Amino acid sequence: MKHLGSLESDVMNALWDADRPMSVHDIIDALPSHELAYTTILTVVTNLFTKKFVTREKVSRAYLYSPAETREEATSSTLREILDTSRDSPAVLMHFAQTITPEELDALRDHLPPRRRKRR
Amino acid sequence: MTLALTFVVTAALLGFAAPRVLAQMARYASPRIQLLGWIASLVAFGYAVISAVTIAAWPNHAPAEQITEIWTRCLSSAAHAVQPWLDELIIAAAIIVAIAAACRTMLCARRQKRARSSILDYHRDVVAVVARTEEGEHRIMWLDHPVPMAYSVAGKPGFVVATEGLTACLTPRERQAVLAHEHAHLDHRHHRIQTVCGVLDAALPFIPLLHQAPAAVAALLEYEADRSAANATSAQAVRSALVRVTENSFGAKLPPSPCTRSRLQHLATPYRDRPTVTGYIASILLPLTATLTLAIAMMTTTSLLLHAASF
Repeated sequence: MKHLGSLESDVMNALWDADRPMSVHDIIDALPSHELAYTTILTVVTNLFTKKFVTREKVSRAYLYSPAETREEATSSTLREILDTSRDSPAVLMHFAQTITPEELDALRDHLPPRRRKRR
Repeated sequence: MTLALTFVVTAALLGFAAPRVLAQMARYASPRIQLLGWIASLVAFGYAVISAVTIAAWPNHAPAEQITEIWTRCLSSAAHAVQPWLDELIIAAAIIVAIAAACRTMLCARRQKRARSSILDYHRDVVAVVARTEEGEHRIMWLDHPVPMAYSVAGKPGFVVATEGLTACLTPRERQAVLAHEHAHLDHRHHRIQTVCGVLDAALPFIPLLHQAPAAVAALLEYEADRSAANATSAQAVRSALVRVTENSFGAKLPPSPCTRSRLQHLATPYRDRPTVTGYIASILLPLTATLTLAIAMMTTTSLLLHAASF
């Protein structure tokens, strides 16, 4: 049994790799392991919708899911949020290259586009 | 009361004078010895404070006080001159201060725990979804981003988060050095040491030993992790990885921070002052024994002077 977090990552990858919105059946077909139950993937994708990773639209009786952001945008906003929290809790996150000065923090922020939306 | 006072003097010496002595150690001692010195000073400080309050609050005389009877006799004449109500007032004040300090420390520890669990939740709910997870000795979450970045997160178990930028900017050996650095943080429980220092500083920042410990210990932990990474790969690999990650993250136009500069210096002299067993024992025992001896000497001199003055 795969870990739920890992399944969420697999589903997101399937959605990012696809060029059109996908139904739960489409997602199952696109996943490396096709043996996963419909309800499992439905739960995973509903979780992702709650966490605002995906958007959905109802087409006839089924929902079609698409990523809320591109992979690059999602990674950038995640890194930016990590950077913001790591200043407050240096004991929890230990960075290889420490950001000590405000100039360093600004330089690092320049690499990351502004956050488009607030998760959670 | 005499013994309690001796511990109070010990705690004061440790709290206010130890940071200066420990800062001097940076000139000749290896990072590991310095780290032990800081930890031993923090433990000795805690021991002295708890002992002082326990002995002061003990009904009648604390059992340990009998041992010090010989030299406390000198102080007895001075102690008898002190009003009995003053004695009780000091004990009551000490207990109140100790309870307040303990409560503050617990509050700060709780705040820190909450921050940690919120960061862990964020990694489970968000980072794990965006990242490619690599299982191994320590889990690594790879984020697909060109900025080279790596950090370790405390937890049960802890894990490493790294960006694909590391693969793009660094050679395989340099990348291995960065991961070995992060693994050293996790294997040697550096987050825990740093958390304790952070909590003590947040609770009692007016004591120089506790206030200066987080920054000093953080730097020493980085040297230690660099040393472990250098052993796993080579000092040169860690050095060049550090330079490249710093340049690619913060821009080459920015001068390296003092922390990065001193890490590079330590890596340039990898085998200077290799710690000996005597060094380890001295760094653990010296903070308490030296300050306790100094406190006893100070107390004895004061009591002798008071004794002489009373005649």
